[in-house]
Parts: sequence; C-alpha cells; structure tokens
Amino acid sequence: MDENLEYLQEDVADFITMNSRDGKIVTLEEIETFINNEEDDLTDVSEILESMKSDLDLKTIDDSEGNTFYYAGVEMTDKYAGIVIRVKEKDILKLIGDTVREESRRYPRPTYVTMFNLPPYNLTEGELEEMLAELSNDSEYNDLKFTKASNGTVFVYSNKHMSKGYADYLAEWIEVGQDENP
Amino acid sequence: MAVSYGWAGKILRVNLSNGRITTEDTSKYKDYIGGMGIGYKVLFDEVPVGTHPHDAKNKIVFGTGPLTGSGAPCSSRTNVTSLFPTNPMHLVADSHMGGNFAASMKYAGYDAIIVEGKARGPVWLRIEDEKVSIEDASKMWGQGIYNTTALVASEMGKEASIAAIGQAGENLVNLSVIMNGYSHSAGGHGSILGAKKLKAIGIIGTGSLKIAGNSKDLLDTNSYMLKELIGANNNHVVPSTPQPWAEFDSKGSRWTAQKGLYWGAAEPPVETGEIPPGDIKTVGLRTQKGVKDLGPVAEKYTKRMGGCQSCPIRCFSQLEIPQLEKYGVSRFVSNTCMGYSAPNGVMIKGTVDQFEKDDGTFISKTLGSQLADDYGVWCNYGMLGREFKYIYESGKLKEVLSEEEYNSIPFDLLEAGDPAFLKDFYRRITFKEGEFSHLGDGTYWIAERWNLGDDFWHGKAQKIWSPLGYPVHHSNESGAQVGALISCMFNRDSQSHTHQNLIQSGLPADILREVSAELWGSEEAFDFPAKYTPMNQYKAKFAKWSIVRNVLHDSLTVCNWMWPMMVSPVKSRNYRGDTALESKYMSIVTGENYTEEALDLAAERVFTLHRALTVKQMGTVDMRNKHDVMMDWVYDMDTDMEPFTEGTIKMDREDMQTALTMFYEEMGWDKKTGAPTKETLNRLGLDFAARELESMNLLP
Repeated sequence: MDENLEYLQEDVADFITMNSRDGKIVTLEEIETFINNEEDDLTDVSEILESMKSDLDLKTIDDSEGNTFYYAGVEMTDKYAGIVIRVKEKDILKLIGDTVREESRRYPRPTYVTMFNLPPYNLTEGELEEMLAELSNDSEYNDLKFTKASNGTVFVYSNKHMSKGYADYLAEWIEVGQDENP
Repeated sequence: MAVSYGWAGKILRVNLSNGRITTEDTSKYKDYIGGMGIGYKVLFDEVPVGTHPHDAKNKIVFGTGPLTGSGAPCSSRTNVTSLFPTNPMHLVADSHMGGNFAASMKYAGYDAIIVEGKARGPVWLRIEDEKVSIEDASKMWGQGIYNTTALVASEMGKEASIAAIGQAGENLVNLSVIMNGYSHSAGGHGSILGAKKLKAIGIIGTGSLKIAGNSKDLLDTNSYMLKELIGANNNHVVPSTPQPWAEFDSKGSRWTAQKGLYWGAAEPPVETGEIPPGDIKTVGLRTQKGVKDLGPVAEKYTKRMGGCQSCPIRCFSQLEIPQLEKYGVSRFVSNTCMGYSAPNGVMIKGTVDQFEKDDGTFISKTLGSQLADDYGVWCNYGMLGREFKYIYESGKLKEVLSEEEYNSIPFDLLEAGDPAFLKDFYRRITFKEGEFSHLGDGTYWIAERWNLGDDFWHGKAQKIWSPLGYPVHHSNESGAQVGALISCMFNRDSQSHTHQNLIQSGLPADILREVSAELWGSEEAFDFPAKYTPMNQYKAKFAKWSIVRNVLHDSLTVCNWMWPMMVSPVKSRNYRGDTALESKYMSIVTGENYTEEALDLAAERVFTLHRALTVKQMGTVDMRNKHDVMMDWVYDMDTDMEPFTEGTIKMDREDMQTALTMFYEEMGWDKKTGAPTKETLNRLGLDFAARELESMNLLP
C-alpha cells in the first residue's frame, strides 16, 4: 500500500476516533474536508473508510433527512449516537419523553431532570425549564410525572411504568438514601 | 508449614502479661484459609465463654490470608477478630481495615498476630521481620492516633506500617477504632487494645511472599481483571453521567470520572476525564471520591485519591483544606464513605456555610472525620449521630444529665449549625467526660443505662436493626429478604457488600436479573429496590452466596467492597463478570488447584464456625428467636402500605420467618432453631465444634 495513503488512513481514523471520544458524529463532508486539508490529491474516501471499518467498528447513523453521520463504535455506543442525532435534529421534547419512559421501564428509575443539562443533551437551564413546561402541557406526554427528593432534586418518570409511590421512593433513595448507606 | 506459597507460614503470638513472644505454624489453620477464619478458630479454641472483652483472657487476632500481599488487586485487608464490646453478650465479631498494614504483616513473615494477656503499663509492639519486641509506650499514652503514628514512625522509620489506638481506645470507650495509615480504621475493637495497654503495632516487613505459579500468569490475571472486570469503587460498572463509550449510566455510581472533573488541588490539577474500561493505567482515576462524598466544593481541595496497598481503586480522597486549621486540626484530611458522613450525622441541625457557599457539610465532614480519627472514636456505622439526635430531640438528654452538665454542652453551636460543636462532642466521648460520654458505650448499653424504650428501639429513624444493638447496613433496603437475612447473621452490623454491589452496580434490572439467574438459578433471586416479592429459595441461595463470598474475602483477605466480580463494565462481555476469579488467583498463588466450589466450601466452614461460636457464647440453640431478630419498624413502617407494594421496603413477619427457614436449609442448619446441626458441622470438618457443643447440650 502507498505509504502516504496508509498515513492518511491513520489520520482519518484518528479524526473519527477523537470526534467520537468527544461525543461527536461526523458527516462525509467533514471527513472529506479533513482529508482535503491533509492531502492535495484526490483520494477515494470510501476506500479509506472501508479500510478502517473493522478496527474502529466504524458505524453510520442517518438523520431523518437522510444525511449520514459516522462514528467509531469502539468509542461511542449506538445509543449515544442516537441521542446525538436527535439533539442535532432538535427533537428534544420527544427525546426527553422517550428517555424518561425507557429509564422508567428498564432500570426502573425516575430520571433526574438536570441530566438533560449534561452532554449529549446540553440543554441550557432555560431550555430545560421550557421543555419541562411543554412536557407538562402536552397530552402526548401525560404519562410523564414529576417527583422531588428531600434535597430538592427534581425527577421525572412515566406512570406507565412506575407508580407515584415507587418513583417517590426511588428519587429519595438515589439522592439521599444511597449516601446515608455507603 | 511445609508449603508456604501464598501463606507466610507463621503466626506471631504475643502475650502481654508475661512478655512471651512465640511463633507457630499457620498450617493448622489452612482449612480456614486465613484472616477471619483464623480469628474465629482462635476465639473458639482459646477464649472462655463469658469472658469480658476487656479481660486479659480475651484475645485479639489480626489476620491476613494467602492472597494478602500477593499482588492480587484489592488485597491488603486486615481482619481483626475479638469479642465485641458493644454487643450485649460480647459475642465474637470482626472489624476490618485496609491500608498497608496487612501486606506489611505478610512481608514481615506473619499470616496473623494473636495478642493475648494484658501489659502492666502502656506498650507498643515493634515488628521488624523476625525481630519482635514489646516497647514502652509511656510517651505515646494519652496521644491521639496521628501523634502516636508519628512517634512510632520516628522510632522505626517512615517505611513502617503502623496501627494505633487513640485516647478513646485507651479509655475503654466501646465505640473506638484501631487505625493504620492515619485513616484506615477497624471499628469497634479499639478498646480491646486499650484494655491490653497496647497502644500501637509497628511493622517493617522486608521479605517477600512466595508465589507458586508463574509470575506471568499472575500478571496476566491482573491485566484480565483490570481490563475486563473491575469497575469503580464498590465495583460500580457504569459512569455517573452519560458518556459516549457507555451504554448505561447511573447518577449514584462511584465511577464519577468525567470530562472537566479534577483533582483540583494537585499540582498541576489532574483531570479525571472519561475513563472507559480497557486501560489498566487509568483505573485509579475512575473514582473521584472527594466530590462523591463531600460534594462539588471538594473538587478544588482534592490533592489526589489514596487507598490500600495493591489496590487500583483509590477510594480515599486526600484533601488540603487550610480552613480546618481554624478549628485547631490539620489542614490535611483523608477518608472515605462513613468516615466522612458519620460526623456530619452528629450535626443534627445541619451545618451552615462556613467559609464559602455550600461548604457547610463539607467542613463538618472533614473536621469531624479528623476529630473522630485522631481520638479513635467509632460511629457504629452511623448510629452515634442518630442516637444523639434521639436523646436530644426527645428530651431524654435533659433528663439523664445534671443541669450543670447539660448547660456546659455548647448546644448553641449545634443549633446554629456551627461544626465547632463536633470538637466538644468527640472530646466528651473520648475522655469519658460526664454522663453524656456514655454515648460512646454503644446502642444496647445506652438503652439500658438511660432506659430508652420501644420508641427508641423500634423507631424507623434510628435504623436499629437488631436487639444486639447494631444498625442497618445494606439490610432490607438492599435486596429485600436477601439483605435482611444477611443483616441477621452476624454479631454486629453486617459488613457484607456482595449483594449491595450487584444491586447498586448501575446496570439495568433486566441484566441484573439475568446475572442472578445464572448465579442462583432464577431471576426471582433478584428484587429491584423497593419492588419486592415474597420469599423464595433463590433469594436464600443469593443470601448464602453473598455471605459466603464476604467471609471468603475476609479470609483471603481481599476487599469485599470490590470483590466478587459478578458484573463487568465491558459490553462485549455482555456485562458478565467472573466469579471464579478468586479461585484463579488462589491456584496461581498457592500452586494448588482451587476451584470456586472448594473455596466457597471453605468459607462456608468459616461462617458455620462463626455460628457455632455464637451458639456456644449465647448458650442457646434458639438462634431464630434469640439472635436472628429484627426490630419492629422493619415490619411496621409505611403504615399506609402493605409489604410487597411498589415503593416500600416494609417486610412481612411471616415471610421473614419463611426466609429464615429457607436460609437455614441452605446452610444445613436446623430449620427450627437456626443452629448448626451435628451433621453439618461434621460435613464441614468442624467435628471439634460438634463435640464441644454436644457436651454443652447445644446441638439442635
């Protein structure tokens, strides 16, 4: 293999890897831009991406408009990539609803609302407040309810998957009980 | 000992009454593995029934095991066994400490140290490999643990590993600790050393431990464990925040490492960053325990994480807080978990901000931990604060103290949320100043002394678990009947984290149920928090397995806060751990072929010996009604809810009796009484115990 191509493949792999480690998914255009900045000659991008498929566990995910994004499966889970896409699409209300329902169903646990301030959600406090208000008023999400632990931390849960009493208990356990029983 | 791979081969015996220092072969204890197993055997064989913990006839055993000092991860645990002063019948119990002491014992050539008798004046024990001497401790007596440690180090050198008691231990305060390395404490046995006038033990071990197997196998196994199995503190296997590499996260996880989180006072500051599994060099960054225990304000004061010899999980935060000097204590503090939270529990009116926003509990925790650690005061797993709250708020304190004494206590500081109150609080207990100081006697004894009634014993707020005077410790809130059973089986608060670590691992319930089915035969073994189901046989198996592994770890000795490896942070393993890992290490270290089953059987032997010793000491076979008893709040809490309703951890009386029966059956104990049967004792090679119990008419 051409030595320059080999170096380029490594650089592209690093580019995707570092972005994934940083919680970012990248478009083909971004990869091409990166390559063009590295190389003057026209290079077959698909060949480069193919070469790193297994090492990086290179994966793609499409948004609702059919745009494809790349990420390294060794650095980023499919679940995380799915959240990143939905944040990009500003599908926040539904994302919060789905996340809360899934956590209530699977763990089961209520979700602390400030989780949505953290990456990959990255909502500002104002945005979160707005979303939660919207959530409360939207009949599509009338299964989502709120509870508060004694330290003031607010949680949201789906009453399709847990009762109020259960959500109350778990919120208090997560915030206070666990720390009192180390 | 003919073969001494893993084991050092010798036990050191020091008689403080006559000054005799002898050694004996470890081999006679091999069936009991080490650590806790040696401790129970010595106590069963050598300490007469009815002995007071502070009597010269009582003995105290510092035990290690074949994996201690071997290089196996999380293996420098010292198991301390003796009669337990806070227990109303002074039944046998263990306390444990991490640090470097256990490994130093092994490198000095000893699997255990048995201390017996009572010195005429204060002494300390100096151990430099085979050179052992009893030294005068007059200059140390009256000093706190910090100064005592420094004084021993000034004699032996900074490489010495030093365990000491503070003034609380000297003054025979029941709630007192033995501590090594300035912050690793074994709670509840400090006064045993105080009664023996043994202020400290200093060890320098320059030897090494013989490993039978190929050293590469040991290193490969370490690499396997660190890359694929181990999580963060308490083996939490998911991060506390959503992170790209992690499929799951859990806010309560001790895997707190994340972007932008620092050891802020390190020079230069160290960012933990995100620490996915797979890189053995970064495991130590996963747990930023300062922030976890002390809140966000701790970040900028955190110098680094500390911990025990041979442990990649650094669970002790080490901080520099200049403001603490204003209270007359050092600016440097190191502790973890209950060591911080217990003093804060004394501040029953809360703590207001002291020097900056949101630093109230931060200061009370760090100041309180220094005071308690230096004096050597134990908290009885948080009971001390709850007892104080009860007697203060119920008016009982006013009733039992003279007016003069009551008025001398600076309750104005307490009411104002000023942590300076802690200085007065701990000093009174340590130096047995007045009636108030009896708080240091322990739950049962203060209830007797101050005539505390049912509302004390059975009130939910006190969290008393047993009439033996110990509190919940991963009890009914942890796995329903599983935690409840485990909490009934020892003579102090249960220190088993096996079940708790699985339940709190951070993985979702479906995975935990699958793991439970693989380990104990059915998903029904696992109840998610406060979503309980009636008792079944699989829960009995889970409870037995949890205790057996706990006992195994305290005998090997490895850390039950980390072991066993039931789950993993690695997705490609489908989050499955490797419960055979202890046996893999044992086979490599000792050169003998240990299976998982063989080790579990040995641990079952040790646990059953504990039960036999408890029967012997209590003088009754009726463990069900006299020992395995829970306080009423467990059954009567949440009056508007029935047991097995979502959102309550309330237990059902009849169901718990069923649970005991099933557990006894799993153990091969008598179904009616819960005492070990002759057949079971013989099956486990405890014939000597069967004979002795038979002679005392204590077989069911």
